[in-house]
Amino acid sequence: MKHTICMVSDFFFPNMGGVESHIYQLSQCLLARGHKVIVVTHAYGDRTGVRFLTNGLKVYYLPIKVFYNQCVLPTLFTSLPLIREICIREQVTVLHGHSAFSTLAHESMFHARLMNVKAVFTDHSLFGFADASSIITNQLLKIALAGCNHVICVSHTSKENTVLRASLKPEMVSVIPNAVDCTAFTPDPSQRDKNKLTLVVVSRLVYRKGTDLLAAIIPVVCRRHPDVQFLIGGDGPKRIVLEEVRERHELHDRVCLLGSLEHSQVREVLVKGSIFVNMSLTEAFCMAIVEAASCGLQVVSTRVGGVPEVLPPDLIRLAQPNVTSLLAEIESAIADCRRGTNLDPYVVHERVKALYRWQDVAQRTEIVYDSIVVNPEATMEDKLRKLHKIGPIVGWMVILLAVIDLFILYILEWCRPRENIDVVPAWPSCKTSPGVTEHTASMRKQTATSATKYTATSQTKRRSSNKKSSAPIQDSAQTITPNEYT
Amino acid sequence: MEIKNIYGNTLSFYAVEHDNGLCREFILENSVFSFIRWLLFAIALSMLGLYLELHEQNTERLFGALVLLVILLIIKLHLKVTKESLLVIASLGIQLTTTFASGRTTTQFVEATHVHDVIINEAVTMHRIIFYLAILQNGINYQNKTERLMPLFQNFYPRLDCLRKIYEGVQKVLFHKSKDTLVDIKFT
Repeated sequence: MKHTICMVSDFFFPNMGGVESHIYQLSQCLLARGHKVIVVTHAYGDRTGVRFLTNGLKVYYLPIKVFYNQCVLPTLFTSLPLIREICIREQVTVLHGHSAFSTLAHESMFHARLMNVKAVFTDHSLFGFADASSIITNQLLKIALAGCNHVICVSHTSKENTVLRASLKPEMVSVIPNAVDCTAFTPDPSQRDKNKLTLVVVSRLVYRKGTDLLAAIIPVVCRRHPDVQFLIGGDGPKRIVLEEVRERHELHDRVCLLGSLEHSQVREVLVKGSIFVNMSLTEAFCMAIVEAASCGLQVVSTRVGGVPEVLPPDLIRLAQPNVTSLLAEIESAIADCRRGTNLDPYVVHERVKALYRWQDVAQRTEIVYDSIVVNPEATMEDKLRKLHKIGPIVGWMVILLAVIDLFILYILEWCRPRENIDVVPAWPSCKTSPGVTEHTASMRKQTATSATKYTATSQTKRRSSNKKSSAPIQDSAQTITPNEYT
Repeated sequence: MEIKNIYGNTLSFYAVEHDNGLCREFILENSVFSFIRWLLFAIALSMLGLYLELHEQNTERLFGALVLLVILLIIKLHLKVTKESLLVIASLGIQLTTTFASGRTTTQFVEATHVHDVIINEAVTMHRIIFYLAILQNGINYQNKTERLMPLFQNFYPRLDCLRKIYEGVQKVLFHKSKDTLVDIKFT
């Protein structure tokens, strides 16, 4: 079954991060499988209007002002005319929202359900339950997901978390892990320093990523092993802590702080090391450890969130998120490296490659789309009843919002009838005339160059589940081989 | 031929061919005056005037109001666009003529050597997403950009089917591309 999918998120290229590349890669693989995919996001600087990326991935940069952390101001009704217009002109069948932080995604899903378009949501991050911001976000999530047809989480831990936060039925939540473009993360043991043992850390240097743990570990490891050096990529408010440690213990020649890395540089840093250390305190799905394993490094990580699900036990050493436990695991990894009993980088790469492929993710997402599209559309009464179940007072408030939304839709239908909206012609298929291919080729070139330009600009400050992920613009000639999904 | 624009209004569209296809003209015309609408407004306003007993008012004030209305009418006639036409001549260029209700016309001419291409593009406005036809100009140094987009038919915004007809015609005259090699996009 062919779908027209509209991916909506506040986070998309030229912004860089886990969610952004997830949307990009998923869209590309879905396009390759013959679906029509469009992406809707807010305007980034002068990047407004309609743009095309590789393989005719159409992106709408809507003229909505950014409010906080790349999110738009939650106004609900102001986005309705544009979302309605997009749904009509592109004949959208499934609207797929991404990331719990994205207001635009939540708003669009709310509108979509009232316009009888199916809505799917992918949650990319874990949340707490205790602090004020979590309580508010969880309540909003509950409202946003009440009408949703299906929810996708990136790991089982994330599923559990989302089900509890948004009080969903577990059967309407699927787990589809993230993937990594393993072709971009190949091992190269020749890059390693022969005389030294290098420990690599690549993460944003913030509290959530456990930078304080790292600061405690560095002096101990350096004291015990004179031939060990640290290579730390990433930047953030906690960088000062590491600099202090380096200063106090005079480790300038052993601890190298690289600062923020572009995504294309991550592989170069990874291949220089033998052991990768991840000390995150919370993580829905850790892409960094998959990338490191794909480069053939031994991985030491904290046992938090979805991390234990990500790699098979023999490829990863798990520690409790405290200094003693992490030290013990790092010690054992170092000992393994010295004995030479660690796994061959190329063998590890092949195994990881078999585990994570975007094509699989696309295929599994497609199954979700197929399953929800065949369900008959619920009546408006049922939908409102569902909204009422959110809570005694909130329920009524949400119903009021929904009714106002419906009223605006009605007005729009009257003053801007759908007959007056042109349906967008399909993107040309591969067999086009020479003149056209020339045109598309030049367009591709253009997007590719602008893409590389933008890769350099932004390091996300946002609290996404992961900073780095696979490159946003891939070679369009990548071959897609469908793989059986079990 | 009757066509619709994006607001749902009816426009008349003519494609005229001169000199065996060396020159083509595309004309979009709006009916200037709708008699029924005028009649309805006139009746409603005179009834309102009678009800408010305007004719009992001081004549100087009424005269002032009349002058104001006449000025407004002139401004309206001066600014209301009734016709936009696009004249395409092979190897010479493209001329866009805008005719106003008062008979005033403005023209814009783009030399053929400065026409890089003519395209249909999409634009996102605050509440709408529209298709429009535009000339990609090159060779003109405009605000330090060598390439400039000149949107066409900005007063009428015809719908996509009409834009495609104009596009195909322009491409044939200027770049000698036939319809078959052009149609890269099929309607779903």
